[in-house]
Amino acid sequence: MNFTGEYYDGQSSMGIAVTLSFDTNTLFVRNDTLSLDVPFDALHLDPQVGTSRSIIYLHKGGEIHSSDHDALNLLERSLPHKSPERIARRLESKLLYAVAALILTVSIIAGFLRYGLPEIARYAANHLPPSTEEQIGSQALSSLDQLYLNKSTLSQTRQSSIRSELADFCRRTECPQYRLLFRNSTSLGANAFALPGHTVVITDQLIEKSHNDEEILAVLSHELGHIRYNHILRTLLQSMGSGVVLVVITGDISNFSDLAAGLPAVLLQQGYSRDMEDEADTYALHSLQNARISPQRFADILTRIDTKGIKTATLFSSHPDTQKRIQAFIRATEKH
Amino acid sequence: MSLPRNYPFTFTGNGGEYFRIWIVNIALTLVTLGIYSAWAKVRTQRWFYGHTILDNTAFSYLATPIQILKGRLIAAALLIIYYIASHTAPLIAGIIMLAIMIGSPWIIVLALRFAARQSSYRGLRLNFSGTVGEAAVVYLLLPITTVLTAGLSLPYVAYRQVRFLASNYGYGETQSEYDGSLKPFWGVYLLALALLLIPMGILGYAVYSAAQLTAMGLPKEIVSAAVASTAITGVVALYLTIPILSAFVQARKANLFYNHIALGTIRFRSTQRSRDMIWIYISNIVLIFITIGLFIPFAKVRLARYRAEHLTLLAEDLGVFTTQAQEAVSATGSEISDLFDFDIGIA
Repeated sequence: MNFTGEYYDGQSSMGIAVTLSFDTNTLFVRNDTLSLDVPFDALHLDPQVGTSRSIIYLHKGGEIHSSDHDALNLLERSLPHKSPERIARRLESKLLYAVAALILTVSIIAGFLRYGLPEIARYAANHLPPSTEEQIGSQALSSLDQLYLNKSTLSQTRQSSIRSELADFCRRTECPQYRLLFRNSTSLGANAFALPGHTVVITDQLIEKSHNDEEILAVLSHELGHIRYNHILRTLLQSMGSGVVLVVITGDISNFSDLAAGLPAVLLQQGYSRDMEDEADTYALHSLQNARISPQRFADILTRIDTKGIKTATLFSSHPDTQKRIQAFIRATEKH
Repeated sequence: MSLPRNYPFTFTGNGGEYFRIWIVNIALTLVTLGIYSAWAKVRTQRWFYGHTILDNTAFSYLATPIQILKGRLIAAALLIIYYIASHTAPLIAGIIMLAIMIGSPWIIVLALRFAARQSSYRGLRLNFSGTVGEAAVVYLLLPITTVLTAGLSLPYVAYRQVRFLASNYGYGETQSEYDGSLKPFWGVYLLALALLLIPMGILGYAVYSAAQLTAMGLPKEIVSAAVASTAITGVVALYLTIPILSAFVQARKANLFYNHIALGTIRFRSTQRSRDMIWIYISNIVLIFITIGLFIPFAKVRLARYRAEHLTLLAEDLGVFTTQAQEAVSATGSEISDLFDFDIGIA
């Protein structure tokens, strides 16, 4: 079969209209004054992408253009070197394959975010230098102090009595290293949360809501659980990681530096995963049992915070299923 | 002597076709742990070049996936070494960063040269012959002055960068020349600065009133509640202004680039309008957001089509260019600059 095209010799931009044909191993380029026989191993045809025009490149220099897609397809099939790109082209050619690629992409990303990233974050959190962790923690604390937290209104005696009770509690069960801070916050309400750098913050409002100090210890033991398993850093690294994944997928590395700037905000918005909450609950339950404090105390204060409908209580932690969590502690109490 | 003819650029690709290429590229890149990304880049480039038509002839992208892969592996290795070093040996990481900073003009020139030489039209390659010295001046030294002059030297820096690019391209043996002046750049950047003042003013007012209220002795919770709405308005305005500004600057800079570049007797006419570009940018962002990213390929095609359809080439004859052979350039410069994100694009 014959088809038409333009021949460019690679030395000049002058196009020469030619008639093209080929047999099993040679491309014939012809016009009135030109007669060129190009063996297949002296030319190269880029596999076609979509309906864009593909071009025949001659190894000695020069290009042949043609808008005859069918002829070029036939030529490509006759060439001895099959490009692996023909697989890609087949995938790109059908909407069904595109949909399959979309589903595959979404599942790989989702799978990575659900299973891969938490493991990487766990590893990284455990290997981060303590100084870095301290720095992140103190930065987060100072921005929280500016925005939400005020100096505690509790008396020094009350503060030190809670401190010594916690110290006593930690003699009866195994606690991670910690630093306890008291803050007053009407905007956060009854709340307690852990920060990177082994810091636990408890609000005056939570202490007011408690009926006895064992309830305070119960809440604090849950937060110590978050510290014990490095949940704060792991959550932070996970959300950073998912940001990186997003950037890699959309192919825009320039946003990378912006991610680091948003750390305190991430800390505020990002709740712990349910797995982490379960882990901290289990830790709290064991600690309370070790310290001979009834797990009922945790259930009591949790119920009180929850039913009073303090919405901000969920700002720092996603406690989706309070009833279910309380049940676990009540069951433990009954077994006792 | 014949009069110059108008040769309009056209873009013949459509979003639906590119969507399939795009999603297959992503899926294969994920499955092959990133190796396929080199093929993905080449196929994408070939698609965009092959659909860009001038005088019924398509542009061609010549780079091979292996070239791109080599560059990517070197760049990735550098990035990994940098990240490991920044955690274990900050001094080494600092040295690497410094070396990259100092080497950046060289990387920029290599990247521009690679991109140009892999682009061919009618069998002749483009070329880029800018020197590392001038790149160092326009991309390293002059940007420092914008910090020192609080942004006032920005028009001059932008002018020098556009001139650096526009006066160093070659097609065959023909070198490009740039005859634009500094003056119109002042217009572009003064207008951009004025636009930027709107969100900055709102944010400044929020900070000012917060300071006032704190001075009056109000507790900070009440202060932050009081200024919250102003601050949020300011931030929203800022996020709205950024795409508007970049669309405006992009459109004007593209016109200033093409309308003052001369390639032998060839001239260009670029007629991008800021308001069109702003509309394209903002609607693209909104649609990408709504479709969780699935609109990205359509957005790219829209932009490519607008740019092509607002560019015309004026020439007597496109067949008069000639060349001699050129040496090969590696892809490393191009890929390093891709990964470390140097902004060297023009249009």
